[in-house]
Amino acid sequence: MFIKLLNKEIKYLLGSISSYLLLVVIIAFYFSQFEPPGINDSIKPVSEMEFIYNTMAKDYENGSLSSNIITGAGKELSSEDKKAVKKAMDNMKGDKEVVGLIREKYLDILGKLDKELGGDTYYGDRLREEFLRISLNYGQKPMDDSQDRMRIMLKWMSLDYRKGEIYSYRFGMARTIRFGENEKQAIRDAMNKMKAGGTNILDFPPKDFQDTRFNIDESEFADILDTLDKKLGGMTRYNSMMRDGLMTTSMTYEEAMVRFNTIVEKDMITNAYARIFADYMGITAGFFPVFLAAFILIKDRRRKMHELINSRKVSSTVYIAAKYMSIVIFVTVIYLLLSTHATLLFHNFAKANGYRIDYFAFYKYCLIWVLPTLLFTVALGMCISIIIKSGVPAIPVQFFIWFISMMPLSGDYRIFKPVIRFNQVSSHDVYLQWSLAINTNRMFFLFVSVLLFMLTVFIWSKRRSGSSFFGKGIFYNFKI
Amino acid sequence: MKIKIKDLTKNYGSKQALRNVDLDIGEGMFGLLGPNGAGKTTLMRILAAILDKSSGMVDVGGLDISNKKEIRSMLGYLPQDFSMFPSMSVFEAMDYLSILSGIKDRRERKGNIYRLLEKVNLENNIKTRVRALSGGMKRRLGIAQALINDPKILIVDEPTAGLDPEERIRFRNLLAEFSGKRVVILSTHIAGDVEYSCKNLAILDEGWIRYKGSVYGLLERAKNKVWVVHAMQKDFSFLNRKYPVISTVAGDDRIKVRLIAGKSPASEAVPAEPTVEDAYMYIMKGEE
Ligand SMILES: Nc1ncnc2c1ncn2[C@@H]1O[C@H](COP(=O)(O)OP(=O)(O)O)[C@@H](O)[C@H]1O
Ligand SMILES: [Mg+2]
Repeated sequence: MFIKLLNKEIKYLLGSISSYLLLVVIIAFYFSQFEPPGINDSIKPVSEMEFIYNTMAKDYENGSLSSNIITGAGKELSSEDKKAVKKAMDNMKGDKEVVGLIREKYLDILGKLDKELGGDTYYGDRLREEFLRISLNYGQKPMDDSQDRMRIMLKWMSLDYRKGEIYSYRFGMARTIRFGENEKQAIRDAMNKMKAGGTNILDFPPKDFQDTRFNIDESEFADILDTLDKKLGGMTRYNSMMRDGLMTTSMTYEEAMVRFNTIVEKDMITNAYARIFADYMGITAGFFPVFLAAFILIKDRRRKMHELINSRKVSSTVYIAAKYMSIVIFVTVIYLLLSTHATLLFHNFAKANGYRIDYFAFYKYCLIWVLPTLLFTVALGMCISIIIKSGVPAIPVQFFIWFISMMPLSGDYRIFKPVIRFNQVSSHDVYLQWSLAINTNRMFFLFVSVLLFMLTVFIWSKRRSGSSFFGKGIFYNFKI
Repeated sequence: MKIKIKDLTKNYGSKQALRNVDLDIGEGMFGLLGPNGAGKTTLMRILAAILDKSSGMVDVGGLDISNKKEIRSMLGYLPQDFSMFPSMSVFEAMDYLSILSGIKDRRERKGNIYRLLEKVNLENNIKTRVRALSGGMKRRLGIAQALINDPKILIVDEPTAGLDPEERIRFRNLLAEFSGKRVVILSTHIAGDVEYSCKNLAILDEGWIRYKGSVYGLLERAKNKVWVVHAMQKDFSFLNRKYPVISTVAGDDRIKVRLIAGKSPASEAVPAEPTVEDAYMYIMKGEE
């Protein structure tokens, strides 16, 4: 009976406009947020020498130097210049790959080339470092060193103090907080506490505090930031949800290579991307299905069909389960289709670039990370709607829970957060430090979903025989 | 199959909708007659296991009413005010409800639905959307859905409300044809509905049972209490104040008044053979 009923429910779901809206939202979210590497993209970090070699090749091809903010508009290359570039390339490559090049020889080649091109190009010693800094980005990693972490936050305090304002993201939107005397005092206090009585740093122009040493530990540091955040209005950059994103530093090529190798070997590429895929899909699962869930039970009464249903033999559990599962299955199928799409893209990518991938990765993260979120959203939506006898209130409730679950972008998996945020393509090793917290969180929401489901069945079965259990519903007359 | 109701009470908060109802309902058509607010729907909902009683005992064919699943599986219910998802077709609505009634086999469901729709003359509307049905068609669909599980007990709540006279007669015949060895309980506030189709009835008023028994017995009760007077205009207002008037027919100079009175209300009054409507009026208004 359950399967037959489930079939019907899915059919009705497919006939409703809200289902298609949900479908469109999820698909739009996938295509706009998730960025798999293109078939010709390289996910392997490019070393400095490789990058310079590639730049030469490009310049040679274009017949001009590339334009950039360091050297300005690209200079045209004469045929002499082009010859020089070609020669430099040949010298770099030798008979081996560029990677094998000795550094002295490399610098020598570049020095010569710069001279031959008339000097002051990005190949020359004078501008090269700057050029590489803006051109080569190996991604960010959290700062390990406490002193560095404190230094960067102190710098932000100094900057904010001078600017006299800060953004607060309290209700999801940026709001400018202009400092009055209290806020200024709060920053001064925080800075003084961190500096533990050092010179009056506020008198100086912005500086990096490179030589500053701090005598506080991490927990004192956290306290200072929390207090400051509160005094500035909350959800500022000093908030625990926001600040981790600031305390990062650029990865080196070597670090990027380690990460790359782990992603290729341990994650078989797709596992690393599946985590960020699940991050985006989880965002959709944490809220949008409520628009289906909150009305699916209310509809019976609104359409005056409830007595026809209530007087039938069907058990309450089967009836509610069919409705519940219809939404869960519908949305899960969307996720699985998108997983398939992503898997195909990575299949093509891997084939073109000679990698091996895990074909199950996207499905796996879908089921382990996203499904519990979906189960929870649907169960809560149904449960609230049946308690209140109205669909609408479930929406702001769900929105609130979803919203507090959005920040930070990674790393906070406490059990009041139904959405697993993991907004980074990182290696298995990074993931490992959180895997226990994530799995615990998932088990918890699975459990809560089952409880909510059972509560829904219980209330529905009471109502079914006219019990005024839970009153007439708070919003009984508030029909939409 | 028999339904036994003993000392049944239902309160909605402080409002008493049923008061110590005692009733035995056997096979065949049973009428539940009473004005609006009498408690008919309340009683029917309790029998249909979609409303819990406050106190008392209800036994359905040897099963206590608390065995909801068993009761529901042998029961057909046509609510007073119902609808279906408007975008569903007649067939889909029937199919959905068939599944909820536990009919698993697809072909069995389909055959059953076609047979029932034919019975209620909806065989040409199988694909019609529910929202496009007229009031009468919706009632007929309502009856068809109540018969899906071939119920031993059929409960229909004011099924004739809103039907035109011809439809109303067809509907009564449909129910009568169906009844046979089953219990069919029909509620109405129109005495005429009960007159030709039911053998037994109960009259409910403000939660009390005012009469229970056969239609014949009801007519017996009202014997010699119904009078027809051809009254002058000036006498009419006097009669109207003194006696419960059932109907009036205006003539050229006189008015033909049908009324209830314990003894002859006027010298020219003639006793009339009571109809069910007269008797109902007598029970409701005139017995004291
Ligand atoms: N859910 C309810 N809550 C409170 N009072 C109700 C409810 N349903 C019915 N009543 C009251 O109970 C009485 C009987 O109602 P009902 O059974 O619908 O009568 P009928 O069907 O004979 O018109 C009426 O006075 C009605 O107002
Ligand atoms: Mg009623």
